[in-house]
Amino acid sequence: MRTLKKIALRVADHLTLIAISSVVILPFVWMITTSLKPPKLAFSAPYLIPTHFHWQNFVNAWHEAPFSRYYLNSIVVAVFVTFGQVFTSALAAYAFDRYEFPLKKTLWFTLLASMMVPLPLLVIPSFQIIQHLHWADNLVALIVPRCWSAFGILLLRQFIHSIPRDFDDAAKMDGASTLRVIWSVIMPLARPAVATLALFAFLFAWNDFLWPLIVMNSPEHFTVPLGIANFSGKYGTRWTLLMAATVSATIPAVIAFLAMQKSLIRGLASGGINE
Amino acid sequence: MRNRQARTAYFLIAPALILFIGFTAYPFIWSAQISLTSWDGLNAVKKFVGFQNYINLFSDKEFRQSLSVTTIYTISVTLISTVMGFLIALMLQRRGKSSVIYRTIFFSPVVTATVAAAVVWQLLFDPYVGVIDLGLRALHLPAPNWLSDTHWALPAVIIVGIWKRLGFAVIVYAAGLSSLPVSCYEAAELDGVSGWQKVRYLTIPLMRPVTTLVLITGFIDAIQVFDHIFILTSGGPMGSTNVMSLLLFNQGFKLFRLGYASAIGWTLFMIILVLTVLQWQIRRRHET
Repeated sequence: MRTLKKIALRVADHLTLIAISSVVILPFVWMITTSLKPPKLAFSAPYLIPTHFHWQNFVNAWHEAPFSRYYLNSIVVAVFVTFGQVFTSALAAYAFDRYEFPLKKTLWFTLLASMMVPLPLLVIPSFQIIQHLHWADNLVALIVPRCWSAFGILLLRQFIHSIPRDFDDAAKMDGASTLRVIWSVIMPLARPAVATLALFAFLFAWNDFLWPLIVMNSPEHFTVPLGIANFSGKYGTRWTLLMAATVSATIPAVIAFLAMQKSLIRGLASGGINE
Repeated sequence: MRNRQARTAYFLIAPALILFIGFTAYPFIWSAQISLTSWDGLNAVKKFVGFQNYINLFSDKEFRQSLSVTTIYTISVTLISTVMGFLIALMLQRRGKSSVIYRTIFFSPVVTATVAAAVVWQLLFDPYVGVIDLGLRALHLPAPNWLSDTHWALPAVIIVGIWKRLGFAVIVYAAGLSSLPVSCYEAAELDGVSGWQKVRYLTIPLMRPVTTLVLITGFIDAIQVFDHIFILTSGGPMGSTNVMSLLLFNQGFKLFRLGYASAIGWTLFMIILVLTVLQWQIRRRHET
């Protein structure tokens, strides 16, 4: 009796999971099939299986908008932001963990509190600053302001704290400078935390929309999200074309992220538990 | 020696600190000042108007509607995704290989650019060719014109918000569950405690810190929502999805009412601040 109930429960679990995950995955499936269908057959049965593969949609989408350019811009921005955040966070985290200095507590508290500031609040004055610096419509505006992260400093400090100081001392005994110690001793040891931060930074920069929407003007400086928003504004309901564009814009990135999901998930999870 | 230490430390935090001051602290304080003016961003003269922008905000119908839309959106997305995330994580427990596939599926929306996902959802919600209405019609249910109906537009953007957020809740809960002490459960099983009671009296209390994290981060995330609503409805129809970030964007970058837009931003910040402090207080009381 008990085992029967257990089996029934397990089956119910599985069915629920299958139902929910089908809903979650539906937009992806629908996007891919629509992108492969000829425009005239796009919305007739069978809905989920394209009967004719119409690769022309992709040719057209790439012809209408410079997706390779968007990709290049997004990659440049995301790579620089990632390196920037890892670099500035590693130095700051090391200083906060290993040194005593005036105003340390105040600074630490201020950095943490800044995580509460909503981004939409910052965009108005930030845009003014960017204009003063003559960085408007320049990829620099998407990179430099994003090259620090309170979350990154917090995450790396937690990890560096667990690395014994003996490692630093040994390296210093050999005559290594502080920067050398951070770069060749601490960073390799803190690799899991660094990987997590790098993925977060990359993901954030890759997804960022409001800020680029405000500072960028010319299409040749668009990132992928801006390019897609622009494309959808232009080609409103030419769905097959639009879906070919979104497939081009999302699928390679999604695959890349899912390939790295182990460390991403580990990072998310550790953030959750350490709290 | 101490002095040298301090110098090295400041040298190390300088890069982060300079960026923090230049692109977070300074704009943050400056926006408070802007919110007390009627600046349009072009004029060199910034006319000081005191708290007039804030007074206008709360008598402005559009803002009050925005406040209630944002509240409904934030609470619905955060609560529903947290509860569903918890239940799904429970179902995934000890499921071995298949749980990896499920987790990958739930996680894909998290790593998809929101703007691109929103364009796809626009197609799904389409009243003529969208799969949602096709399905509803096949079941002989009413098929609303989701994105242009004042009653259905907000539920539509809430659905997309939950879709995007769910994976995060699942992953964090799954990790939390896997770190729970097995011994507690074994003891409970020996005492003949049933499955649901175990969840009610063991899992939920033990997961409280994780729940706090998922709720707080979800809340701060949802209250600033912009991307997918900008694509799907731009705040319409009739302001029924006009969340505060969209209102701020339109006031600041379409109408160039920078003072007014900054006042909206500061209201948003005050809400986050009050709730975060409240949560600290509650947690502290729990600990003592």
